[in-house]
Amino acid sequence: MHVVLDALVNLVTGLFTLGEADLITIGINMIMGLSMFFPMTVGQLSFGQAGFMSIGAHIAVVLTLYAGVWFPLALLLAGIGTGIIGFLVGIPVLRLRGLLLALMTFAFGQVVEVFFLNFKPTGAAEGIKGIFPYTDLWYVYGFLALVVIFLARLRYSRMGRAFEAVKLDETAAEAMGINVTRAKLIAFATGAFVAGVGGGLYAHHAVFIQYDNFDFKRGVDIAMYMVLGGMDVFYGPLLGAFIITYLSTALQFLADWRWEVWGIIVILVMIFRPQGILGRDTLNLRRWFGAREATPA
Amino acid sequence: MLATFIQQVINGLMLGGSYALVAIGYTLIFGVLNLLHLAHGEVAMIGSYIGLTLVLTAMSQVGVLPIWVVLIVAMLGAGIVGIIVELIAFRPLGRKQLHITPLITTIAVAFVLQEAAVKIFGSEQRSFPIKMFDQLKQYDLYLGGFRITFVQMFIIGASLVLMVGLYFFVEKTKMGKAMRACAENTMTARLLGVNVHWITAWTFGIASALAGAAGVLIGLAYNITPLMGVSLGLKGLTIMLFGGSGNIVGAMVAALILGMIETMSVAYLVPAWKDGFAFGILILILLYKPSGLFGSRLQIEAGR
Repeated sequence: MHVVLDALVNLVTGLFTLGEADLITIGINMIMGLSMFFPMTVGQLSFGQAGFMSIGAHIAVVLTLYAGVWFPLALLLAGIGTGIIGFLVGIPVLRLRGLLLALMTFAFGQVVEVFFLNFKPTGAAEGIKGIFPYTDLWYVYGFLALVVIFLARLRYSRMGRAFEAVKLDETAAEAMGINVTRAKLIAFATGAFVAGVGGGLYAHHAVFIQYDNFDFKRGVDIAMYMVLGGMDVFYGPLLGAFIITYLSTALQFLADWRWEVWGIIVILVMIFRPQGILGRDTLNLRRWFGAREATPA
Repeated sequence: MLATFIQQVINGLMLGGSYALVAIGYTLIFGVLNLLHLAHGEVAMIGSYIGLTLVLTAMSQVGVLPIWVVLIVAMLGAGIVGIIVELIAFRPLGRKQLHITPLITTIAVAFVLQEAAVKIFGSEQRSFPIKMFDQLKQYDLYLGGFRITFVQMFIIGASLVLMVGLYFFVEKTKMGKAMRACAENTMTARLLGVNVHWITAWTFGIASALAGAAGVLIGLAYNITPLMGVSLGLKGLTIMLFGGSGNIVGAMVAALILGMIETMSVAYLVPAWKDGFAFGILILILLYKPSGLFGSRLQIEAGR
């Protein structure tokens, strides 16, 4: 009992002693969670965000390290480059839906990993060392704020409503005159853009990147941020990224049993809240205190 | 030149046979439950560790065990692990789940199993003891200066026997019929008196037992590591899609093709791109023929 209490106290006090590095990591993870949320706004699950992150990181590093480009400009270019790749990848890939799309994007992430494992100009298996540590809190949270403002405004815009319609029912959306393919492509490419910038920020924080910084596990982590936090609202991935990143450092006191505890938490959340912790209904008091209405999945 | 080529063909058959066992499990689970079981490769990994532990303990207590006993025990163990996975990560989700919920829970299970394996067996590469193979050397076949080891024959033979056995199980027995009914339409199967929960558990059990067998066979030919499940699972997934989801015969053929491609690409092309080939194939299939080479029995493109 004493151990559990101590653990809880640690968990709470730990919140106030987060260092700058922790906050940067949390911020970057939040950005990555949001990058995955973009395809989700049109109902598409993309497991390839780690691949886009990798591309963005490599572009940004090559620009700052070898071409001496100003850091914010390098980030922007990394984002744009990744966005273009996302667009090109999206054209064939977005014909698929549901599980197949998830698999496809996942395979894309794997191919990116194998590519950078063999790509000599970026050091192949050795990766790139000696990257300038440009990333600070301002860059991370500044960009995060931009993305959040964008998403908050998107929700009630013309485009956002179109996305929502596509997410709920593609056929109906198409019948209403929405260009479904275009909506999906835009959402997918924007997600890739955000992931690319996130990758650039990550690279200039980690100072050393290698192909396997962006592997299967990273992809799954990013997916977890969104799925655990909530995939219907943009603050879901934010909460998910925070909880997961924080817990994985805070659960150190459980050291040996970290992953087991972690797996149990994920399964429990999925059993009781399959749409994630936060959802459209979180602020709906009737759902908490009154009769449970049937919410559409 | 010819000798190396034949050797590569045998390696390809070995690899393909083991992959087929994993892929068939995937296909069974996907077909009956419309669920991607992403911890399937990890179940195979657990199976090979069960086999290894059994061999090592038996060696210190009684002596070298016959290879088929190891295989059967590992299959039983993996089957039980599979049923437990179903009870923990799939059954409680109920029917209101989204299509990605089981994906996430099985990934969580995969991580837990990996960590458990690291904790119990250590993270270093292991392999079956050489002493075990020494005894079997006497059964090696010599064909004109060319050797096929007993282990190689055993791997190919065992995977063939299991595949054929599974095929007859699914096509000819009553439970196989019930499984196919569930794959067709769970609701209708339930109305017709099929105990769907029971069938689900059995499907997981059988699929996992096959994965456990694959784990042991791969362990016999190569190494055992806690991370072997990741690539094994991915290969199984690729093969399932390649052969057509829910199509057991398709999975067998596709597995042999992928096993061949992989060994040949290692032998004659760039080894570092080995995994790239598998994923390149996966991408091409998904793009141009999502129903797989031999046709899918199921509609899986239907969104959420």
